[in-house]
Amino acid sequence: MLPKELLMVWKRKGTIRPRYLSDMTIAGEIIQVFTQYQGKKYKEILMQLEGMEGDDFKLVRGLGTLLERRCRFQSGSEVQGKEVRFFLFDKGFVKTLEERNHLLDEASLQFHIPTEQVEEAMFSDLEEEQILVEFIPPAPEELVRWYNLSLTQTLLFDALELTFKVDSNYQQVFRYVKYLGLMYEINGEIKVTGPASLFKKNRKYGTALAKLLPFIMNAKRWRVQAKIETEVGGEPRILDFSLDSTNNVFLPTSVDSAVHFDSEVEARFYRDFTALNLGWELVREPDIVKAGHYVVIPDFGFYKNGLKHYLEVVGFWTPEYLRKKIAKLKEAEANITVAVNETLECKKEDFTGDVIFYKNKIPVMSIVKILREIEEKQIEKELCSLKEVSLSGDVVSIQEKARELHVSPATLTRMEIPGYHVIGERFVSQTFLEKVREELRPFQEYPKVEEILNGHQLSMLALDSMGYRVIWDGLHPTKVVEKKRDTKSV
Amino acid sequence: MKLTYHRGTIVIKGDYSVPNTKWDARSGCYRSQALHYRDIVEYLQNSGVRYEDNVLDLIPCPELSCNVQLREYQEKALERWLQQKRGVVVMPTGSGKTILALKIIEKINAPALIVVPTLDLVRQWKEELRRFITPIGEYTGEHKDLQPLTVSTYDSAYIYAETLGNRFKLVIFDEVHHLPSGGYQQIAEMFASPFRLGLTATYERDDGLHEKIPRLIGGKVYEIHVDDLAGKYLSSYETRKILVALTDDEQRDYEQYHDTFKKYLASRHITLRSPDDFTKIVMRSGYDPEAREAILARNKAERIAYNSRMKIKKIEELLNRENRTIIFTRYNDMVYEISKRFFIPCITYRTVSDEREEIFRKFKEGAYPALASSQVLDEGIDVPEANIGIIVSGTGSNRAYIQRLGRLLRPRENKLAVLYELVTKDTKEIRTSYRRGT
Repeated sequence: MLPKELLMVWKRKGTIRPRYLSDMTIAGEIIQVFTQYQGKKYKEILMQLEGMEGDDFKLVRGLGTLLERRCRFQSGSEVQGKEVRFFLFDKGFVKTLEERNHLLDEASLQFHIPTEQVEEAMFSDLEEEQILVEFIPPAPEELVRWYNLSLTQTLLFDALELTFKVDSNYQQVFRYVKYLGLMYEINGEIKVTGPASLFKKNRKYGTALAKLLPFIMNAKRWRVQAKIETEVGGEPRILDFSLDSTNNVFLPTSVDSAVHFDSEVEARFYRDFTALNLGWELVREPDIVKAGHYVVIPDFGFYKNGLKHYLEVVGFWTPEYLRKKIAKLKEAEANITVAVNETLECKKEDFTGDVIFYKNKIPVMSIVKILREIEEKQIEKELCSLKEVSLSGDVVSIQEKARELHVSPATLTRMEIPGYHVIGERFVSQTFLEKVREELRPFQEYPKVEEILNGHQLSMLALDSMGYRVIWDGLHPTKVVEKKRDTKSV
Repeated sequence: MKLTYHRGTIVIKGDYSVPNTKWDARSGCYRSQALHYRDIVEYLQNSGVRYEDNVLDLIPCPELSCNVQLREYQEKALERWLQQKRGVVVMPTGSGKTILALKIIEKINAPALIVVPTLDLVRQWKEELRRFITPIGEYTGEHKDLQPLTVSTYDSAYIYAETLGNRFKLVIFDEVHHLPSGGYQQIAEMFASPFRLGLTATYERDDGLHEKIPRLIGGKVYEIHVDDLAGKYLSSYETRKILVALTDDEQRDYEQYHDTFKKYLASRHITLRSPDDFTKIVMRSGYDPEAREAILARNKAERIAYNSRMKIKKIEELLNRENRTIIFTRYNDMVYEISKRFFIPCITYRTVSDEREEIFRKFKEGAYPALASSQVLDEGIDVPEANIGIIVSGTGSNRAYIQRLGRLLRPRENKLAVLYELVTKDTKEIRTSYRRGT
């Protein structure tokens, strides 16, 4: 879902439709910006994006807004902005520039930073001063699908009613209709409204209808229609929106939501985490963990290559509940990260292990950081025990080799193996790549190139290592050309 | 007859027809907006119909008493409101609206929800409500704690209206002029609370929507103006306008941007007569790149006028440690600029609540003689003891202007309160300022 002001629509003859995106180029370019600006300030990213806005500022901002959810930002300055500014504020105020410089010098001494940096540090904890420390890029196509779903949901914020038809997934859809406090009438199709829709046209249920949409789309075949209240030429109008599964719109293929959640916070975390596709299996209420005389069933379990980690969400309010919970978690015999609602009167010391504080949503990227560290430890351990790896053959599956050596695939890709390249999920020998490269030289048309690659069990990813570049037309690759000389190649 | 509450509505089962209800084919029953609960019950009672009423599910509530003394005009307002136990009281900021509300809560002696526009006001109300010896609840984006006396924001009350609507007997809307805008009126419609109070310093809205308030919570039952109170209950004040010239560079840029905007207007044959005309261009900018460019140019011109460097110079002259000074600006970057230049603590909508609290406390104690803020202080925040206000940029809105003024009007002996308005010379900004008729 996007802020309403970023919604782009076409209105024609009483109908309304989001301006769906089908071109991957712009999505790819914006992903590129975030990738390149890791280590830079948020405000620099904003400026770069602003430069790309052109006539499509809503599109650029919309895509940027979605990508920000895959970013982790951190305060850049070593000293806390708050400490610095309160030090400066505590002098009352300064009037002349001499007074000002004098105070800057004092602050410089106090915080052991150069005078010029004091001003910079003063508000270094502001959002736009934060530094992008991690970004998980989606594939451009994934972003396009995600964007189109978000546009549709945003359009539904102004929906007065929603009518739909599905050929499967009834149970889930109706469970959510109830969960979201909506009502329905069946008359061939199913019309969803809210209790107060009876009295006047009512946009209050728009957000709930937007939340329902992905569950409808989970059906194999589906159709939705909605009445959207909007303005045309300054006058309020009610326009028709319709969309179905046969439409040529790129939408997410399936929304994993078969799991039931206690709260919106947990449901959102599940959605956001699985969208990142990190190879960690996320399981809701996984195993039982022993904790002294009791057991704890954590909210989430993360599994990958024999690694295991748990997440417990503490978002409750009653003091007794909290006391019991803390006592149990302290005795738990497993690695549990605890995500604590910031407004609870808790301190980090109350828990053992990792603690994350959250406000409205669990910071997915902070969990990712913890999981990364766990993986990193495993890789380091395995790298130490793994002395030499010998490969034979032209193409070797990393997965299989890893299984054979009892290590994780990530560890293997870290190893430098002479004469071999890592391409996607395979090791490919240098000699073999050169052979294929020669074979490809006469051809440019993508279908032919693909045929040759498939014949050798290679994917498109191999083209990059061979010094070729793919030219796209929207979502479709059309041509393959040689990269310019300065890029590294075989 | 059986009445129950269902997510912001009243479900009526029985075969007697009741006004303000409608047949709902979805659930096979009569249904009404929760707003009409009081009327329905009165109707049934007057008609002598027997009915079972399961609508209210009130939060268990102790005896509510607090020790406050009302002033003469507050007594009068109380008396008027109690006649119907609904309606709006209009009183200037600083004249003790909160005290009146406390007294009303005590009289009703039943669970009450207070709805306010900002989190700052939530905090401030909670503080005031401590005079009752009962835990005070908060229902906002940050906390969900329901108590007999609970404070919420318009946003949260709107989102959770379906579930909160039958838990309180009294609902108080602070800064009630917000209620008719957007979806907020549904708060009043989805609440079954029979007793309703609205408080504001500025009842009238420029867009005329205040006409909807009587249906939602009752009409104006009492009104008193600043002039009736000034001197006796409020400190007197005066306003001084200071004209500030743009620097040469600023003047040049200003004219250039302003020209771009004017040329666009001319090219599309648009004359600006009312704020609506401007809104139309903004809407155009969604699809017309030239309109967007024109808007951007106009915004840039405006910002130059608002944020002129010479105003910083003027602030330097006006700052004095003997005074309690609050500087108002419209734009956040101007607040940060002022803060960085003078090392004056600043409060914007992004300042986290802990920090805001600390700044307020130190300002109240006198450790900070000055503070700067963008619009977050606009409404009803208790910032006592300030005697100098400096408006660096006017918004041209009548209401914001009065309320900023109101903030300086704190009863304090022998205090001369002055509100300076720094206006840029030879720009449109003068017109925004004149429009208020000062």
